[in-house]
Amino acid sequence: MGENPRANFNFIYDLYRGMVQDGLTVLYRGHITPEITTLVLSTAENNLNYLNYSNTINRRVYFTLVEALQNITRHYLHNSASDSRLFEFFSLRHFKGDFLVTTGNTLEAQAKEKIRQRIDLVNSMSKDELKAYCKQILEKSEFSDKGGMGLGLPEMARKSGNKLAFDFVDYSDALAYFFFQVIISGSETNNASDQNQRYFENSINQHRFMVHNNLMMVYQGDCSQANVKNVIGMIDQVLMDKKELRKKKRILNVIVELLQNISKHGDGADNKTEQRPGIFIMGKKDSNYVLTSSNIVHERKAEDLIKKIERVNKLNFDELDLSINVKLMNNDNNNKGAGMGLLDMKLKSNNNIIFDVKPLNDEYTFFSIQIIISDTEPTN
Amino acid sequence: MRILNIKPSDETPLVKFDPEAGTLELSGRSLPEDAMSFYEPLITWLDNYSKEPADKTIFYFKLDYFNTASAKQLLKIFWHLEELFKTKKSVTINWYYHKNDHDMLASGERFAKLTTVHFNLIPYK
Repeated sequence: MGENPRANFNFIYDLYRGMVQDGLTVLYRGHITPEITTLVLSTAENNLNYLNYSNTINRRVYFTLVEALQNITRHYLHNSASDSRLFEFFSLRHFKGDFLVTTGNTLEAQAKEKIRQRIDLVNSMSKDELKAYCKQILEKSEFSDKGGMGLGLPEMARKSGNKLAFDFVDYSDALAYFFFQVIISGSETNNASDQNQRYFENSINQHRFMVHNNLMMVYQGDCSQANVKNVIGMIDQVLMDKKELRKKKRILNVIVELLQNISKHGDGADNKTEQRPGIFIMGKKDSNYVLTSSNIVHERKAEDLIKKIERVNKLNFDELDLSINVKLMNNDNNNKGAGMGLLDMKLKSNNNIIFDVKPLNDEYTFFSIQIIISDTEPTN
Repeated sequence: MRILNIKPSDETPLVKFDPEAGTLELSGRSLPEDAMSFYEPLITWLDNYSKEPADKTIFYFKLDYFNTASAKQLLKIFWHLEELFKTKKSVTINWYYHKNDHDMLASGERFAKLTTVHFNLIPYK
């Protein structure tokens, strides 16, 4: 994640600015499995509740997500190559009033031409032609050996009302990386094509950024408990490498504490709802995992939080151990949590807690916490 | 007194407290944000159980993951068992952990230090 972990906070701040306007970003780089599809759908559903679009738009987003993700799980090469540039990619963004669903995956270079022809054909059709084409495929209803009927592409084009965007990046003579994007307009009018082209380039740039910084996941949206579960589920899928199992639990531990921290103490965009906007990022630097969370915090609470973090950071292992015991034994029933999150994160990561605070206005700040999970064991 | 049976969910563990057999089992993962609400019925059940306990009580702890909010509630359970132990009843806590999961072993050791009830720390493969 860049040479200096702190430099990364600027990227998060940029995301925050998007967050205020747009409210939802899920970027994922790793294996796309049926489990991931389920978790992404659940996350989308939870977030769509807050975005107040019509049921028609919500259904279109949902449909596109299912089709685009199943396209990957059903059709393409699952490349377990160690080259992380080839990891599968998925992104869902609510951006300037539109929904962008983007996927990336490897395929055999020889498949490129066929895919290009199929998408070009779909893109050349008018709305009525697409409708007739979908009907014709349905009537034939022949399932391919991969379990699909070839209805995905024309249906995505028909329901989104926008042209399907795609591009190939050659990796070798045998392999290519395939980017694909569907844009669901938030309003009934379709987008201008140059606008859509910018969206597509923007999404490819985000992928490039993730590859360059070795990020596995970026989530920006509601961090209430329902989505905490989904994010944890996705991380469960990202960390399938058996060699990483020992670290995996620590990572999950820290993520739960980071996100529940936002859920419990974060200040909502709107106090009338349970929504807790926040950002969570997971990346890898060498063999270390870098976990970052950010959210809006009232300035008074931010001051308290800084003091708490500084206190925790000063503790040596024995003091940390003792502080956890004291917190555990403290019979304070007013606190929904245990007030042990920061202590536990330092214990599990065996690293100091890094933080960054940006004032937003007189009242609120944008607070980021970063935890680095390394290979080292806590020492007694 | 009835058996307390709670099915596991994505964020809460399986609970099976059997008053006649004196076996109390907790397994799966525990990461509810509001842990107090989840554990309250378990504590109430233990209060009632303590009035007429089995001769021998064994607590099977088989969580593979819990958050800090749950940790505090777990200690409350162990303290209830400690009260029972003080009445000269046989009480044992069998704390299972994966043999590579040093953090779960360390948590078991921590809880064992904070109570007088006997903890068996049992690794599994």
